[in-house]
Amino acid sequence: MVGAPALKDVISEVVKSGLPRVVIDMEGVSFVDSTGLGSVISALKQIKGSQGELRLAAPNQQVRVVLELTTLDRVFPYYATVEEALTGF
Amino acid sequence: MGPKEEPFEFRATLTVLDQGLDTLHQSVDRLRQATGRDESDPQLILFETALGEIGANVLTHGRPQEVGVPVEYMLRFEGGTVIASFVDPGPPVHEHLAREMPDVWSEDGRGLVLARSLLDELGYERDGELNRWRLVKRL
Repeated sequence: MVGAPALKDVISEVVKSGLPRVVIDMEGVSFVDSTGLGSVISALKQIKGSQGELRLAAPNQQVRVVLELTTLDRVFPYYATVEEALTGF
Repeated sequence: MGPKEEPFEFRATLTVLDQGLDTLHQSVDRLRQATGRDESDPQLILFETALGEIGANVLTHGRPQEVGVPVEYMLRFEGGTVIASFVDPGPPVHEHLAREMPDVWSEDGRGLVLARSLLDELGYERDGELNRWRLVKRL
């Protein structure tokens, strides 16, 4: 949750730059709650609105569980590593 | 060595959202240490996720800073079951408890639904001017 405002600012900058393609590296994220998910959904909406794409990389077990239980894994494709997420991007 | 089953208890008063959430996670870390569980223990991950959701809800909508009354928090482990409780002075929340999971594009409204799905029991009662929450999960 602490990182949510920073994420919003970064995404706003990226969207201004044109066709946004964003990978969020989740490796340093130990825990996500529904407020954090809301921030990522907001980011995804911004990016989709600019015909862009957002992928998540390296989510830990807790993040994967939350994505699956909320069925958000359907809209956030996630990958084991940043390198995998960047493949074919 | 497998997990230990000795009783464990942690109590705190919470007043501010970010610090309060830190305290909740610290209490679960202490429970992990006390019971010999590691960070990948799946049942404790589910419990901690539910605890964070209810805790954030209580610390946001319980509004302890407005009425000057802190949220009382207790975490207990006994007989293989972990139980957390919150007592907050916020307004009643009955109408929020029956919510369904919102659609994937919604940016809020998932917390209580998610917590309910992760616990064996989510108890709530209005007691005078207080809300009493009880979260139960068998580990």
